[in-house]
Amino acid sequence: MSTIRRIDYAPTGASVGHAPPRLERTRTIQDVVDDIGHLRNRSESLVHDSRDIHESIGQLHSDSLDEELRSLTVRHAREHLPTLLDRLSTLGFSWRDIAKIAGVSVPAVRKWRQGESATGDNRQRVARIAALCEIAAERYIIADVAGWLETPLHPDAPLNGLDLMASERFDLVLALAREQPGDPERVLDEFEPDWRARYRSDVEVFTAPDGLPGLRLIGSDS
Amino acid sequence: MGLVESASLLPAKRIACLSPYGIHLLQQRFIWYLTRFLVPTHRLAEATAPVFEEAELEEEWVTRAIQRGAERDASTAAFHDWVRSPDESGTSPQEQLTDPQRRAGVRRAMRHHLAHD
Repeated sequence: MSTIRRIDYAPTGASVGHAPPRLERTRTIQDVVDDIGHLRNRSESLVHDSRDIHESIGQLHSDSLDEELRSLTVRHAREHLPTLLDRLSTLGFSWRDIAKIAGVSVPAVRKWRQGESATGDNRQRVARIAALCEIAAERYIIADVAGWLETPLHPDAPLNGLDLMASERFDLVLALAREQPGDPERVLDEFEPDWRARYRSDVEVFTAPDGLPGLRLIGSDS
Repeated sequence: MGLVESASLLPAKRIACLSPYGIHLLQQRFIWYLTRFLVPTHRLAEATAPVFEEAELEEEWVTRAIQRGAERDASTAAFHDWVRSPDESGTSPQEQLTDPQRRAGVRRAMRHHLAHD
């Protein structure tokens, strides 16, 4: 029985590092489609990741602003109340709006201005207005904070930043300051989800020929 | 609209004491009674806001003037002069009150005027 000796094809010293090139299979359309699908999955995954990171940063920013508002409120609450009210007055707030946000009557605010004492809770509420104004002016460079707060958030809703503050939603006002011009509709959706239906109206306010505001049906000329 | 002495507001003579929202409800009811047309109260509030703003400013002006010893009628007239006179922007504070964004500026201007008067 003859023995067949297999020739050893192990590389010789001269051939080391010169392995014969492997022949690649010709890529088919299916391969390309698979690659595109894979890349698409990766890009979607990255989009989700970046969205999560963006939301986390937003939440972190919001938490830090809340904390800043709290600490500034504590600091302002230690101040002399008439001085604090004078500062809000200098910014251009109306006494009616300060009273509304503080949850008291206008005569109560008038008494505080004249030196009558206020409860701790009321001092905190006034201090929080001053704290928010400080953050809006210094961090977000809003020059006319009172005017900004008084401006309607949307032409179809009679709501402004002062209404949000009166409902204890200082967080939404800070979100508006942070994202300005931002998305007031999103803020309104969170504040009053049914605002579109609630304030839908066929009537609009217009400037009459005498220069004063009047009411008319939308689309009519007079 | 203007200020009156507290003594003239005797409870026995008083018919009603309304908040701005109460006034808007009354206006809504009145318009409905006359025309059978229902105007939303928030539109009435929007249309009448400049008047309420001016009334509040007048109260602040006159109260402050009286505390300084001025006559009520004279200080009311002084307020009306100020609120109707054009400022450097060419418009009067009364006209500026029709724009919600400019109301804070009108209050600041009035308080500055009172502080330096």
